[in-house]
Amino acid sequence: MLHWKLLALVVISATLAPAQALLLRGGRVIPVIGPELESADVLIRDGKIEAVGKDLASDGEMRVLDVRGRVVMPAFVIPHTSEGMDRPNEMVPVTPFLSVLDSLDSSRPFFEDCLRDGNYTIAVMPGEMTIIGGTGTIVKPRGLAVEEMLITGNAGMKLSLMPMSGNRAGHLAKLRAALDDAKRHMEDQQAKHAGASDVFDMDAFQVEQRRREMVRMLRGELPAWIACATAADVEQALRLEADYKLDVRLVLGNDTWRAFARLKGRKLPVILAGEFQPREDDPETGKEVVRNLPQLLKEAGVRFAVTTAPGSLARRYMWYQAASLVRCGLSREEALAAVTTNAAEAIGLGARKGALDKGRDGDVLVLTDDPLSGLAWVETGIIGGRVVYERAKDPRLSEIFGAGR
Amino acid sequence: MRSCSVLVLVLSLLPLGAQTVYKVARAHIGNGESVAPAWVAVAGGRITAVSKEALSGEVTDCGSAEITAGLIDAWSSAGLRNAENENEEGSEVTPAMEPTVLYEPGRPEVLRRLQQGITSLCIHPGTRAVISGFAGVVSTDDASKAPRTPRGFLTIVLGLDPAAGNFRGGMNGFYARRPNSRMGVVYDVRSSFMKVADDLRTGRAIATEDLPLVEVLQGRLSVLWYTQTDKEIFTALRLAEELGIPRNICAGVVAVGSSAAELKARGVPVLLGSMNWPQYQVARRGRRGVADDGHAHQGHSHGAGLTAEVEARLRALAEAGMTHPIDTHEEALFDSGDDCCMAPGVDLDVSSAWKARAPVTTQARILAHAGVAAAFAGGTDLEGAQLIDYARLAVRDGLDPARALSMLTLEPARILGVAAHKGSLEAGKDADLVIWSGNPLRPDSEPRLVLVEGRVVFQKPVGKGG
Repeated sequence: MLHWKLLALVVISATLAPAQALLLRGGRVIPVIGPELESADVLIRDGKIEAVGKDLASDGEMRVLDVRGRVVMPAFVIPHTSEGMDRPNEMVPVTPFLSVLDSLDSSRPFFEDCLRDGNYTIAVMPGEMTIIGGTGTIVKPRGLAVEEMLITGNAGMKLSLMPMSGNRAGHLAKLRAALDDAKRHMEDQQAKHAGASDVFDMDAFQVEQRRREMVRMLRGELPAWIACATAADVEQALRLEADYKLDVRLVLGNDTWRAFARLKGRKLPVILAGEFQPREDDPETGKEVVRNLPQLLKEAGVRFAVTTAPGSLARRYMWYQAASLVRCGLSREEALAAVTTNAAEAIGLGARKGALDKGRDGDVLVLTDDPLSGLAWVETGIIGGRVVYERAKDPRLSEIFGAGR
Repeated sequence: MRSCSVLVLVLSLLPLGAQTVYKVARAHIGNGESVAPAWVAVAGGRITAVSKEALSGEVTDCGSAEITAGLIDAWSSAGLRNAENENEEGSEVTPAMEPTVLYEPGRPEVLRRLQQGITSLCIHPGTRAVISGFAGVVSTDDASKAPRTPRGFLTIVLGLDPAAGNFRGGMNGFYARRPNSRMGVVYDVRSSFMKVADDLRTGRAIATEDLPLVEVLQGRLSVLWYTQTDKEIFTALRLAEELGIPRNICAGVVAVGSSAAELKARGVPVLLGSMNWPQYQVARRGRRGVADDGHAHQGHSHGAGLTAEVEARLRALAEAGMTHPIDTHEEALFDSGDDCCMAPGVDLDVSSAWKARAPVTTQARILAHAGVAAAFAGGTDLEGAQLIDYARLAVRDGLDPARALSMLTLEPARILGVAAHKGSLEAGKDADLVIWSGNPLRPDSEPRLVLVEGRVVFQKPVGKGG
């Protein structure tokens, strides 16, 4: 992983020219944490949000954008997706040594659409057709090279409990065997080379390259993102957490709702990755029953994030996902948090992303309308205090709508 | 669901002649007008009045809810066991096939559509045959007494769908059969109609199964041409003129531009296709492409067909800071990924591929500008989306909200010939109604109550996990 870090450093230092401070003047501000403000200002300096409030003072050095009549909110966070890669999984079940970094393709239309749709923090993880799928990464949709896009190079290991060949017990046995193998290797190397270092050192202990990410996960340095398809999988994920002391993030599918009560009070990051209102057949009556997953999570007292999902709009638009949550009975505030603050927290960026708050990254959207109205377009997109997208200059939209639109 | 059955019970106990009145914050009539607030009265399965003034009867106050006519999905295969592939495999020309008689309204996918507020469907046969059979309008409710129109339209499929899979094993393969190409598909249409025209001219007896073709030629039956792109629309219009087919509708349309003026000139309405279709799907030419003849072309230098114009656009994109760098964008354009689910063999040229990234909701605007009658249709992609989302996205794309709603109600009713009974909130029409939790065009609203012919067929329990 070292080469990635080096490259990232080189690229970041090359692009670190100080950005001009940016003042968004007079918009309706939705900070997500804290109350919404009518005709308020947002000041971004050195890539961070410096202030949110009424009548902020401007100086001649600042770039001032008049956003009266517009809505200002934090950029959306996609907390889990497998888009942006050529293939979500390698066709071998245990591949902890793979990295999404080697698969990301900045030229995929997905990233361009993210820029246009205001999804500025994207956790790209290996898919579910795996046992241990490799490590994921968190990127912004801006940059020609992957190094330029990086936010978090290594976001964690993807584990999937969805049985690949229909045999749950076999699937789990292979998963545990891989974890045990890495653990044994870690302990063996540590014992063998105990004199080489006082602290745990991968190089000094000669930990095999292909096992290093697993070792990091077992040492709690790397989160384990566990995809669960059913309630039984959630139970297994909790068992893995206890047995191997893993730092677990749960990615929940349609049939997990019976385990929601078990998540109560655990403070595990939870990402709802399936449908919001899946249907299932009642085994007794054969009748179709609709389960309202967001409502059930709320009733269980579980804070959760949502992500993109199959479907024409759900696949692209996080505002649509938020509106769908309102349809499921959540409040406006809860719905917006699920696509911003909760999503940022679930991927370990709770302090940096997801809200308009002093000190957080200046990832800000200027929208033409309220995010839940279904009418909103990103008019101006800002990442780290820089304007990265302007709808008026979007050649693709001009192509589709004509210059006048 | 208990409250729902109680309500149904109450309704059925009402003395004959008494009317039920729904008071709502706004009634979207369907013809472009809206009334706010509104009282909508229902009796005997029909709408009896829509009024700004209070109406007497059994009044249900729906608060801030808004009402529309039941939505019409103008192109669907819900309720058919074989879903997308309801075809007789033995022949490419099966004009007498009637899939609507196989329609089962109790099936789960039909119930889901009902719960989305869809009260009528136009059921079509599969797209694997050329002259594929009859399409017709049905109700999504089991108990509907409305007469089905099983022989509403004759479906003719253009493009490469009927050729898909016919080339397995190559020319001499066991499975090889005609047609294999776009022109082969057109030949089947032409030869079938010419044979019937010849029979008519010479006074030969017409085969029973060819009778629908006669009805078409005599203008008693409309043709639903399955035409995904401009290319096939032009072919359909040319065939209609050449063969003397007076009544035509283009369905399944996902990429329309250059043919809009021609559609307008001939008064041919359009049923738009799935909005999923174009978004990440562009031409598959170049490296892994499929050309018109259905052969896979390997090893093309990708981007061989790039015009200077497209290249200039790419450059503009890069200058505007888009994430597609010039050198790899061609590949993104041509090889858009594994999730490409374009109909097998469908091939667009570079410039139309570019345009095809516009979702059908923006194409609604192209048609609206050109003055072409058009409706949205969900097709097969309603498992992950709502039909009403088509109108929502179209409004975001700049379509007039009233027109967007009418493209799911009155427009499809007119195009499908059922506007006398369906498609708008007008006295005398069937009481197919949807009461939404708020403005139906907002993505945070949903159907709370769906009525078919005055019966409550779905009521959404509010604020429950399940």
